[in-house]
Amino acid sequence: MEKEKEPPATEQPKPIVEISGVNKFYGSNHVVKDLSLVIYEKEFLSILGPSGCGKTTLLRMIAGFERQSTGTIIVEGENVENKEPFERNINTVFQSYALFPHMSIYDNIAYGLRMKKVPKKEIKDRVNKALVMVRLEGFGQRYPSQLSGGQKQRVAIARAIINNPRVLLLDEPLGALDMKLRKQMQIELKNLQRKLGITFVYVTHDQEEALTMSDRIAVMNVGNLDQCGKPEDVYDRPATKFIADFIGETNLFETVVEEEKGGVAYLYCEAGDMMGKSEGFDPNEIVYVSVRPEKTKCSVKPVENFSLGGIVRESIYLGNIVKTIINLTNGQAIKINTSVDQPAPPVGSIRYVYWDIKDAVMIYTHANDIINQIESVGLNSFNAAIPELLPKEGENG
Amino acid sequence: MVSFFKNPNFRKKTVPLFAMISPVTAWLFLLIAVPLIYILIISFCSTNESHNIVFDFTLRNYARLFDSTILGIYTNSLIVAVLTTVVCVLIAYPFGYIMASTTPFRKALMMIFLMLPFWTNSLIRLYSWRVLLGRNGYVNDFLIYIGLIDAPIEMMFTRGAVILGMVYTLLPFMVLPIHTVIDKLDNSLIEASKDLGAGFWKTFRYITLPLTAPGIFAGSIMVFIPSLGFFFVSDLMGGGNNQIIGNVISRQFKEAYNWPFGAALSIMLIAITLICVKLYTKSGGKLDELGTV
Repeated sequence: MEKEKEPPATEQPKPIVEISGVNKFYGSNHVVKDLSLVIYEKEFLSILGPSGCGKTTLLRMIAGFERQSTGTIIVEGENVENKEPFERNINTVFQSYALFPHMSIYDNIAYGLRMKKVPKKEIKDRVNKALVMVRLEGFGQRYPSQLSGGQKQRVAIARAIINNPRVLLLDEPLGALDMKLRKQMQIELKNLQRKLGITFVYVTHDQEEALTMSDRIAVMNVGNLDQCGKPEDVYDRPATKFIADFIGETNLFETVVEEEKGGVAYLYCEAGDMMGKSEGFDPNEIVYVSVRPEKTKCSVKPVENFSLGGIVRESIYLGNIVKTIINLTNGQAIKINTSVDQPAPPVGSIRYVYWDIKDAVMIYTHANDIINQIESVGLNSFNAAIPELLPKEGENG
Repeated sequence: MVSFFKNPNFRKKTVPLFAMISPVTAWLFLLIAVPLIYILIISFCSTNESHNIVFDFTLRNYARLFDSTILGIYTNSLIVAVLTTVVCVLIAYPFGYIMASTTPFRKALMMIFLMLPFWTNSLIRLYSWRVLLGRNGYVNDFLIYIGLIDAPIEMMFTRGAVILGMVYTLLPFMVLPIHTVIDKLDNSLIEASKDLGAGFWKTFRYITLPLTAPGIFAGSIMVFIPSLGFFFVSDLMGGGNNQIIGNVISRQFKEAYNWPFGAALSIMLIAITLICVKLYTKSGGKLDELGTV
């Protein structure tokens, strides 16, 4: 997929949906946590996250089916706090399609226009055009129960886009389809979005889907927006350990910074020493290092400043690549992808894992910030407040 | 099912078919088929002076159905049944709707209030209406007390009272099927309708109502048919002024001792019932959904 000419990159993009400081509680359950996100015109934005991360709730708040507990949502420059779903220039494609079973395909698609009292003749033209657009010409008189999953999906999309919304919300629309159909629909959806030039907000838990289709990806985890950026940003520079783990495969190390010297960070972890990019870390700071399997290498002799030795446990042929799994001394399994024409290390042999410094992604844990904060609170005031908790005189070190 | 019985191994592996279904068959045969056949036979018979059934063949009983008094009672009966059904739908639909959309606790509470009266005999419950609505009943006393009326008004023994009694007795049979269909309704359809520009009433008119119509129809049958025959309701609430088919049938058997004519009236009622059920199944309703809630 081409990466130049992404809408937000070419010209100054106009925001269409602005979410700021939105929280959502269900009873004591905090499902969306202080979330701020700007969605631009004509972009394909995916909201990606595991199930239960609050992504569907966020979508439903944009659509107007749920009201946020606190915070504001602005659509086309207008606060939509008290606007019903049909007062927003937004349409939704539901996860279960939600086609009206008692209406023909034609009536389903025409529903929105009829509610807006569009003249009959215009409805006919527009519905027929929409049917052509989703390649369902001649299906108008059928009923939803007579269609396959993929066809129902296309009807649901036609029913939404016929209203010319500024934003189309899609809630895992391909979830119920089989693999092959999914791939095909992904491309169709992306093409449709380009053709229509409207904003798509696409909720999915499938990271591959998000990477294929999106201009930008917003990754959510337990109600937080962890990162929002272009697919390559999210993939190559994950902001959190969760994202590094969730999007694509990775080798993740929890490390401690030994020192930084000449643009290189010298680190160590349970399994041994390693190097990473210098990003102004303090000594003893805890940092996660994420290295993609295709960027991880191994050698017979240890490489300087690396001491990650292990035994080759498995070598799996996957057609285009060979996946080698090396068990380090602490039991951690390291995945290495190499092209088929390179010789794979024999199973049972000892290999040393290393990588180019530029390929190591450094992820802040903020553990040190927390420790510093605790220290800066000053235990003296705490002790003064609760004298009975103070150690006995003389024990005080 | 057919292929199951055709399976050659079927006989070897299971108890004989006859033994399996005979208790049910015997039950249905003795308690339903035999009496019905008997009613059908005697509806073509006549009686002698001592009210004994004479087994001859006559169509006189059926001819009497078109007697003007009987036709009048049929008409009254149909009016009561239709109005009862309409009132039941009007009460039961909002009730079922609220019940389907509220919290589980409130739903259980509503269900208890709906079913609680059923733990008491319906005759006793209907008598309580007489205490409330009678000439010296509480409602009249109250209306006189607040000065709305000077003399007690007759509320009992009217068609309205009969309909009230019918609605009171039959309401749960309307609520339960309606609640079931509303409960089963996929909420995303409602949301989709709102998303596409329809407000509450339009969504109700174009989505909710058409999709819950089978429940209304099932409930209507469950209310309409009994309300043609619940003679004790019109006895207690109508006091003989408002007769329904059930009253006439019951009187033919219990007082006039004209069983053949009573049988002909019953056959007519069964015919009306079957026509209603046929209409229901023709409109897409399923028979086994009629009784289950």
